[in-house]
Amino acid sequence: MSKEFTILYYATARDATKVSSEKIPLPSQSPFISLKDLTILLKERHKKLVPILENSLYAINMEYVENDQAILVKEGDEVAVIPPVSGG
Amino acid sequence: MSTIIDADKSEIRLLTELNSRLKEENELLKIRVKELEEKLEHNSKISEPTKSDKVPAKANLKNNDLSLDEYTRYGRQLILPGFGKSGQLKLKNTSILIVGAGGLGAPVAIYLAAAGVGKLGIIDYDTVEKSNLQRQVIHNESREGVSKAQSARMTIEELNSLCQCVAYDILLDSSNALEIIEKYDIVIDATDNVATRYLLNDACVMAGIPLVSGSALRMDGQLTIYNYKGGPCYRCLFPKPPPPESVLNCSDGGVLGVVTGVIGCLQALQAIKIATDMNGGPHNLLIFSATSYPLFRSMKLRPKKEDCALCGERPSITELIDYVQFCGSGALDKSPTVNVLGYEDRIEPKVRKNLPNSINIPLNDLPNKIEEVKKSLEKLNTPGNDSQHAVNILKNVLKGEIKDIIGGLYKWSLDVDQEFPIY
Repeated sequence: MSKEFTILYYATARDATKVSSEKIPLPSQSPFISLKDLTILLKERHKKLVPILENSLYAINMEYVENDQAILVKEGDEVAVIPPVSGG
Repeated sequence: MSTIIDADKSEIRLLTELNSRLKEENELLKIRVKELEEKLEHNSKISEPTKSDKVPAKANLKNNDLSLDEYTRYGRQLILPGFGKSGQLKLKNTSILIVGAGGLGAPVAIYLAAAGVGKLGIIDYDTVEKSNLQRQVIHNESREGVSKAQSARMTIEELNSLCQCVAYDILLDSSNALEIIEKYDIVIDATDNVATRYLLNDACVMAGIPLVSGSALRMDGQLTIYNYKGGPCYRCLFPKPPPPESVLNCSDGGVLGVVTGVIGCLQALQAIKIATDMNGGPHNLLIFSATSYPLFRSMKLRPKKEDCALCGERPSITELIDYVQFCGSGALDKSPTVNVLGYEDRIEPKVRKNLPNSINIPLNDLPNKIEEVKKSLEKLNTPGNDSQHAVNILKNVLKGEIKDIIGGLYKWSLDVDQEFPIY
């Protein structure tokens, strides 16, 4: 059983992936994945996420994190992809 | 047989009567609307934003007691522990600017006026359309064609004559934003477009005013207070605007009316909490998703970013910019016009007057449904621009003539078949 973390997709990110959440295994032999590598992974997984990730926020366990930091996601973490919503 | 004919006749007579009565009422309402509009126009000129108004309106409000009428009206709030008379007086002495009298602005204005906010400003450049009424509950059927700002003001005046309401029928931009915003204590972002969101954010940071920002689309909504007690601004979270083609508005993406209602009510709540100093807790971004469990999630935010171009320690943005250029899209809730196809691939609806054996396929499903399409020659769709993309998909796999109808079903309805439903 590989170690997993959860991704939550909101608004346009959910539209692009057609799922509201998914479990993703950590890279083999590694206890972490950096946010940078996660972005690359998500873009490969869902082509339609590419433009959306440019402007989205990441939250780990519902706490905002800077996108450009080398923050590490570990087993059991819940990462939310939150694009801006602008309608009204 | 004759009974059926008689029944038909009496129904026709009833409908004819109803029709003429409604027409009469309509004429009377038009006259009434015109009268009210003239009256409102006259009144709003007194507080016209372009004229220099030396005394800030917020300073005019100072009032340290409640009238008997106010005690009766606000009684249920006055007995609330933690709110009481001091809270009510704070509301009375607060001025709040609501930008956008649409799906979000409607509940915000209604609840703030009902609660007893002393002064409300309402900005909207648009007019009321029938398709707004599904969510913009401050307007009604008799206001179709009336300025949204004025219509909102009419509702507010009927709801609470103690609330001073100023309607601005203007397009907020870099030339007028600061001058208007500075007259208010709190600004509510109830707009529907990215350009105005950045404009409001920048103007509020420059004027030092908290911004209660809400947004709603489809089944989702977001709520944040920006530029408040050391918290972030919109640019701290979203330093660059999304590409215009990735942004959906309510007219293209759709929205469930009650979703704008949920977010709008929460904006009103946050504004009341700011006005009465009840706002505690960490800075956060509230995410609402009508189809998820739980419905709400709250994301904890950081304080403002030290390197933010606007509110950081060394800001590079020190005055308002051209936001339409910055965002690559304008301030109106309308689809940008694209020209994917050349003129030779497009025809006017009048040129093609029938829709033989037409089928309806969403653009996303089109690549998988080519076989179905082979039986049909033409593609049409909604007021958006997807039909041009559809033509390109079809041209790659089919022989023969494939054309986009300029203006799509909307124009079709206007020019060819008035019975065709548009929205």
